Amino acid sequence: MVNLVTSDNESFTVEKAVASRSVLIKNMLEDVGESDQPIPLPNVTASVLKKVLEYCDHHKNEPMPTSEDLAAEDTRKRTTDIGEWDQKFIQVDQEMLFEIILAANYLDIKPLLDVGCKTVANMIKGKTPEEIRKLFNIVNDFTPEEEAQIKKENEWAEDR
Amino acid sequence: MSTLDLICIPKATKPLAASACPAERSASATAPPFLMSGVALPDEIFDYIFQLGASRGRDLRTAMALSQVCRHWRALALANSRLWSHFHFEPYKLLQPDPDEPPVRPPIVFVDRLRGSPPTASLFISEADLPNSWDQSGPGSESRAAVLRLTYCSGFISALRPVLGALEVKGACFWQGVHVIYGEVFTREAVARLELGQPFPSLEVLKIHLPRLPIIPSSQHVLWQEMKFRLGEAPRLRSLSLLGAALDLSGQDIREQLRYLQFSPSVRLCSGALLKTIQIFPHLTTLSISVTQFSTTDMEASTVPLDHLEVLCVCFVDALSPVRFGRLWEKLSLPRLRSLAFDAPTLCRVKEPKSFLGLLFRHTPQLRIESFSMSRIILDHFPGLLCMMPNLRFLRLYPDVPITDALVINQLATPAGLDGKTLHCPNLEEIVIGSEQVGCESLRTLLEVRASKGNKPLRQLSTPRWEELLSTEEGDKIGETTITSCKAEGHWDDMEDCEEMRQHHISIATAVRRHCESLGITAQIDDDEVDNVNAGAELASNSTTPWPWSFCKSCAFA
Repeated sequence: MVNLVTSDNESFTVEKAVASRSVLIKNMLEDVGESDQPIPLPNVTASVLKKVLEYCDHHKNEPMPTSEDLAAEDTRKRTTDIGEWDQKFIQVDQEMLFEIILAANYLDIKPLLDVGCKTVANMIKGKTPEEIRKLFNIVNDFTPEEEAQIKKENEWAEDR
Repeated sequence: MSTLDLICIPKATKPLAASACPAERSASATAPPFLMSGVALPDEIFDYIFQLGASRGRDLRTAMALSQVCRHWRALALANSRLWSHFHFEPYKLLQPDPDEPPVRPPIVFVDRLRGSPPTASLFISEADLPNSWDQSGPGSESRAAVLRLTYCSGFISALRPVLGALEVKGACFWQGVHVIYGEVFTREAVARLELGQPFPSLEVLKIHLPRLPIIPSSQHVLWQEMKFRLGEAPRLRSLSLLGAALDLSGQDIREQLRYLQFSPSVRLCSGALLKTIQIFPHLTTLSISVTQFSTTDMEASTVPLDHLEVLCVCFVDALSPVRFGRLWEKLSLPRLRSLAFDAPTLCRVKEPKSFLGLLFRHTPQLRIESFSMSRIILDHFPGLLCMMPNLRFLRLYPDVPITDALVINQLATPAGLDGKTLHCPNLEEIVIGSEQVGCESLRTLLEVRASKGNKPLRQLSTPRWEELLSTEEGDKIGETTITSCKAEGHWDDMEDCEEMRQHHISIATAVRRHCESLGITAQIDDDEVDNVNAGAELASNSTTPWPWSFCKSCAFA
């Protein structure tokens, strides 16, 4: 078993197979060898780690993606398909979604990072700039002149 | 003047934060982090999301939308050259150009955003692009607008020519009414405007897929014509895919450099000539061809070495073509072949299956084929096929390949070796059984036997009965095997070439049906013979004798 300690000082004891879905933790465990020392995760809060571990537990028996898998994924055409379980798992509010992405990036869990980023990408696809702003509550900081210039720049590709 | 100079661009009067280059981006690293719902995401993650959102450069519209959200997003989007790497055109979707204005050209900033990486371009012409008449008189005429849009698209692509890495041109079927004529004129015009005869110094991939265009001089005769183009110097060309088009490569030697070739040879091309055609590309790693019953068996060619070929996809155009292919197969030396795929335009019951398998058997067991796919083919003597490929790791029998319970049990779940322990294809890792005829009981037996007697555990089984199979399980696995729908992502990837070719042949059959409709008669196409249309059309194109439409009873007796 592996003991993980979050930034808000909460402790999680999990199977090694679960914790090792994180390349960061796996490397740490390999470096320190057998040890009862808790592993501090200063960039992850308890609520986020709980979700991350739920994902790791579900996928613990799957083979770790190899560099070949990742290269193949890179060349795939349909890049934003997400598995059924993963889709349900990632149905969270926006703040948690971005926190999971951030944690997956920090912990180096590429499949989870993919699920998170694909979810955001799917939210963006096919939307207008205004719709994207509204969706993520982003302020439009262009001046009217800049907006006009960008519009002119893109008008060649406008749909009928 | 270089071609790129032709692009007239209104210069930005005030540089936007958005036009930031990577250096500018790093300079902005000291700026406060950009928050998404209160979470500060690093730029690398934004880059990744943007790439996924813009389908890794294949969705320019999303890339444009991303670059218009706010200054920060614009800076990130414009610095990410992969977002701008593909230009896709469907002329009818463009804004109606004003005929009195000079043609709008894409701003050069779009080329700048590539940051030196070669872009790809695609031009898809559909029926929606065609005007209802070809009368270009009058400023507001529909045909003039259509030509303007075409000029616009081809102008953009031809402006990219010096840096273009890949070009794809696809023409839809123009089979109805005046579209038959206009379709051809329009498509010819479109391709002519791409100036393929000019040099393409960076071009690595060229794909031209056009339906063979029918010209109907009278209501009784259809002539097919393959469009011919001359390709300018393309010293880096390594992948060439031609359907319904012929390329004049005279004056340049691409024999040594070509690695991928897909083509639909003339149906009357004898196998000997086909072999000679293939033989001139000794370094091919992937070959995708169609074979017809008209490929004669009269071959003088000796063994043709394709020492680098790893993937071979064959489209059987008619029921007799497998046997013709078998004779061709005997002549090929394929020491590195790993993947073999058979496909057909429509469901094809192989005639003379024993001869076909006999011909395959003489050569196949010596190969190390690891992946075998079959689609739309009915093979009555199927069992012999798997015995020939003991090294198989991936077996994909798609939904339209009729497979029975007995076949699954006998061939995949019954020890066959002398010791009574060894399975056929003991290394199988992934199986697709697309037929609904195979029941859950057989599939469970298959899983149990492969788990206990196979050299490797079966990683994945895909079946249309996946839900039924998993109804008593928790999760998506039985033992170590993941059970998926047989249409799950990725399964069709290796069949893509065959699929393109299939569509090509089907489009011709569709033309026949439409032609009959235009004559006011109902087509009675014999499904077994449907693809002979291809052959018949070809014969007619070189003959003054009216083509008898032998594949369609209505036409033949009309």
